[in-house]
Amino acid sequence: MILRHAVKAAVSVSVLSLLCASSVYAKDKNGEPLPFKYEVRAGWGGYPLSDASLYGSADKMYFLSPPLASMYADYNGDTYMTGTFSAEFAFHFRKWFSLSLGLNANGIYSKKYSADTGLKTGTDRGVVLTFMPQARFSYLNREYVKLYSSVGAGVSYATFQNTYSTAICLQLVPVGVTVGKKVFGFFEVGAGSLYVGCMAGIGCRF
Amino acid sequence: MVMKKYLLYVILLFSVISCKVEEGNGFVVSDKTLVNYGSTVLDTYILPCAESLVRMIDVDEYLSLSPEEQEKSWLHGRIFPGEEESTFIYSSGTDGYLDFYNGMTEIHTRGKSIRETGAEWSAEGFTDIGGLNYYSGAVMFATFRCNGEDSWSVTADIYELCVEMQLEFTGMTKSGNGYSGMFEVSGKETGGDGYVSEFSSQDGPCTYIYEYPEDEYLSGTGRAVGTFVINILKDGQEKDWCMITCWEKDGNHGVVYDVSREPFLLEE
Repeated sequence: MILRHAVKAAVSVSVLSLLCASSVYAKDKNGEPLPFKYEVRAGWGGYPLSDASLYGSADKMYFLSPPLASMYADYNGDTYMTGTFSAEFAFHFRKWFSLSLGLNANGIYSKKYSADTGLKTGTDRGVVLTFMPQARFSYLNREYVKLYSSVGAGVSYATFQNTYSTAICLQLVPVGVTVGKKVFGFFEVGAGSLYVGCMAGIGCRF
Repeated sequence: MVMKKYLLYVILLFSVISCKVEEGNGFVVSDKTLVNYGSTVLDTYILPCAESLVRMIDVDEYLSLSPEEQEKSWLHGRIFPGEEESTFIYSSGTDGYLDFYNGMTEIHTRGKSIRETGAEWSAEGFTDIGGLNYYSGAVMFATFRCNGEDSWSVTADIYELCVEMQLEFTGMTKSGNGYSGMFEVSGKETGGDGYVSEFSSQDGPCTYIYEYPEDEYLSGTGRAVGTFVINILKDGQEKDWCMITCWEKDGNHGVVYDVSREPFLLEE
């Protein structure tokens, strides 16, 4: 309980600090204020390779000769993941640099069957939540098109089949593009804990 | 109504964009599963337990030898004095077939020969935790009581697997390149959710045959001839059964399994 409050307080202080910092430093090289200080994004990315390898194996370990306890235990059917849903709030410090705080969720579900009858007995549901700050570097800044790369590190918390785990996460985006000015769409390719492949979505700068 | 509609859209969206990350496997109990389980009961519970008696007889014989004779025995280098009096450590090495689960066995002889009527030996098997054996970590505790000439009762608990059993041997004598005798077994395994498996020999005692291999530094293998039945109960009600017939004829031997279930094909 104390830890939860401490984390909440730490996150609140960090966000407030970033808000203040971005207000002070959000200027271009000529000292002119940047057109936008903040940015919000929502997107979806796949394939969640890291989550799939860590949490995807829903079935109990099967041995050639299972003893009685595991022989009649419920088993899982196919396991699905929703892919990574992402929500980000970014702070623009420079025209070429911004820092985003992202909260990502990847849903997991798998039907459970009775080993005795083969009939469905329920569904296992879970989620992998990842908090990941990312440093984003824009190397092409046109009015309507921006190209960028980003790198991020964070932590994830996963719950599935009555188990809980946390892990350190990393994400690298070599190439990303946004199209639009105030309201924009984005598409990026990357590899890491959030997804291996691409992520796309929409955002808004203000 | 509107909420339901949106919920439907969300579910539809999820089903379109979600991806399969792991294939499910049909682990529904079928004929094959029951045969595998029957094989587990025979090969992993009953036969190693029977073999453990042979090993105790070996140890007894070894302890009765002079130091010079002990040096020539295949058990030389495998039996060490324990910390307590009349206690010995037997190391099965890695060659024994589930010989006390490939680990170290602490044997308490209480200063008696296992052939003395009324003598009771106990043995506790510690597994090789670092090994790749599925049963790593399982610990077996067994007692061996001599009931008379060539007759023993063996009771065994395999703690981690919730298996306990009792074997009654009679006429266990040296035969050919090993031992043979008659035995009856009864035991049970307690699973989760009210499942219990009861196994026993059927239609009277079975024959137990143990043969040492050609290589004197290896322990041998044992087999049974006879019929065993396994009844699996759920909350006291019969759920499944497996009948195991171990046969031997004209120098050949094999095992036939008869089970209560048909093959199961998963439809999904």
